[in-house]
Amino acid sequence: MSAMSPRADVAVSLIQVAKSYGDVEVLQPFDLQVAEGEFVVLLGPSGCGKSTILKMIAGLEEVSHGEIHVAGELVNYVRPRDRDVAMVFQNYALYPHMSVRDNIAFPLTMSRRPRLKRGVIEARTVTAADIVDLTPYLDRKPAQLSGGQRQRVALARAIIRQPAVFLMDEPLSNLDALLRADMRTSLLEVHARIKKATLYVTHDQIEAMTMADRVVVLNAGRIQQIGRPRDLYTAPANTFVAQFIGSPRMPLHDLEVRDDGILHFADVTLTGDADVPLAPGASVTVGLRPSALRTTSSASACFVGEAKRRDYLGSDSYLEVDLGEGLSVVVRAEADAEVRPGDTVRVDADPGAIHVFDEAGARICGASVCRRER
Amino acid sequence: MTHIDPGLTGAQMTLSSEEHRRLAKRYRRRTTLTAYAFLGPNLVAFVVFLLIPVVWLLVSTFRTGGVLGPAEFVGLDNWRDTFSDPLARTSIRNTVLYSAMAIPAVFIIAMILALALHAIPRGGAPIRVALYLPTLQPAVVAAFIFTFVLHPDFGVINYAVRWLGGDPINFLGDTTLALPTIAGIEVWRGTGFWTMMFLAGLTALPGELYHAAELDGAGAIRRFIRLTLPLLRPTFYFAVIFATIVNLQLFDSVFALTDGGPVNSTVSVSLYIYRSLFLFGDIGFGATLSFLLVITVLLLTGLQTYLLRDRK
Repeated sequence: MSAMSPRADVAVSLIQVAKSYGDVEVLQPFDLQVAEGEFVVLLGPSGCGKSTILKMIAGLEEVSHGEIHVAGELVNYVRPRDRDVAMVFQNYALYPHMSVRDNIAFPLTMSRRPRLKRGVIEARTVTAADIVDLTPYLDRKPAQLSGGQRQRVALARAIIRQPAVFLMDEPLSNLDALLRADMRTSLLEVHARIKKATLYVTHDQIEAMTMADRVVVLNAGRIQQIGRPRDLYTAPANTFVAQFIGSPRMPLHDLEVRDDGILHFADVTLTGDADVPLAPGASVTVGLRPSALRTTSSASACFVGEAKRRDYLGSDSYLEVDLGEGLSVVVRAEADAEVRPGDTVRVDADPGAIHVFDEAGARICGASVCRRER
Repeated sequence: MTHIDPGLTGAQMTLSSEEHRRLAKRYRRRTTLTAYAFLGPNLVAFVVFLLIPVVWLLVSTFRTGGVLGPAEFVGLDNWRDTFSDPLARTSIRNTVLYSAMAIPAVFIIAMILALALHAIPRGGAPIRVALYLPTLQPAVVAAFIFTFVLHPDFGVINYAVRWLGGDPINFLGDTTLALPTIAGIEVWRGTGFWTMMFLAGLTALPGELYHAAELDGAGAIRRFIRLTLPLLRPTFYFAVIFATIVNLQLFDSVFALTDGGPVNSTVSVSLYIYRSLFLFGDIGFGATLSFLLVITVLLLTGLQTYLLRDRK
């Protein structure tokens, strides 16, 4: 075995994988390992290269550089059908002229080695349909099903192959919001039942945060951060992750560290929680997580400012608060808080609310409010 | 129960339901009239150039003469003549035989070319142009070209045959070879058209389906049989019916290349109609044969509409 060979309990392993079309690099070299039974979400905006990663693992796109191992085997030069992966597509990719039963059974009827008996195929089709609650619809055509049901057919067609790895390419993005929430739950139930490594592509941070064991955040062909949902939220690796994860979006402000190594934000001083002090004169970016800021009546509030705008969300409201000097924060408030534009608002920051990034956007440390200057 | 918007009180309908009915009716009538106004010109053309001639044709099948002398009612004589005329039967047989050779051949060749063109990632444009060029030739020009290709003395094929030591083949002068040769030329002319038609059908198929099938373990041949053929069914229905309609009217290449010979082995229905009407002046007979052709084409069109109806 070569030094690059991955461990045995790793279902998928991508080693220095990169993709380019001619001179255009769409994916920078990266490493990623998915453990047996792990649910990994690839998250990023459109065109960031997340679907390309899935297609390379499936064998539908050639790998420009690097190695892909599935279940311990190098698959770069293995045909898609021999890779032991199953894929669920955004538009379901159901065969419109076949019944649900034939759609689900298709991978098995295509199987040559071993060639399966009709009875075996039928039994496995029924089992797969049962897992996704489709038994009553086996004789219908895809056109007679709802979006959610079609997606479940696609899922059953993947399940029936009993692959080493499931690849899901934005499987829920064609469904309406309510159905999407239901399907998230069903997908997780199915995953818990069959416990196979799953790579799941989405641009929806809620899907990523609720479903993933680990999330891979991508932007412009580069991996920004790999981590558990909580890590991405509490310690975003850079400004992109900080703004992409969390709603509402984290406002960012470019500031300069004073010569005495102190960082001023409006009329307060911030101290970094890192061991290394902030370099005097350095340009930094400060972001404040809206959901970790809240209104207070306490006189010892971190910030005081003027309410500019209020977004009512039902469960709570978010206020944009002007702190002066061109700085503003977004703050969570009670849903029925009586705040009007122009009112004075006092704001407290929970630990982990404030993040400091360097000039390139990489996170330096968290920060806390040291004292008010006035 | 009616839901009342609490934010608005005291709002009332301004018109009575009687007035609403009247206005709705007027509104619908105006919309319908607009539609008929746009359909009108087409309808006039349909009646003047299709419906009236076909009816006149049907009337002509019961009459004789009418060009130089006065028309005379002859009952079913023309119909009896048509069905008992051996040359009419030959022309029908030739046309059917020709269609049975040309249509499957052109479809198979065009399908293979379309699949190949669909598979190549780039450089398809010049090939598509080259393939389509024969379709753009008028039949008479194609016939002229093929005279130089097929001629027993100076045609390139026979030049090659002689060079290889064989006897020259008289493609258009041999009763068994003439019809297949004409079919071959029509296949050459039609290949570009049907290749583009099938290529368009292939391009419109969703790529994700093929990715799924590839992952599901279906090889190229099984993807073609299990996916492409069933998914292209609408295209095929259209292709078969349309090709049949066009080929049943085979006229120009026969007229230009063999004029029905040798020994009537290439006489098509259209050519025979032309002869009856314009050479023999037998209006009643020609009209009857024409009417049969029109009815066949209409039936095929009806069949096509039936097969292509929207099924869910």
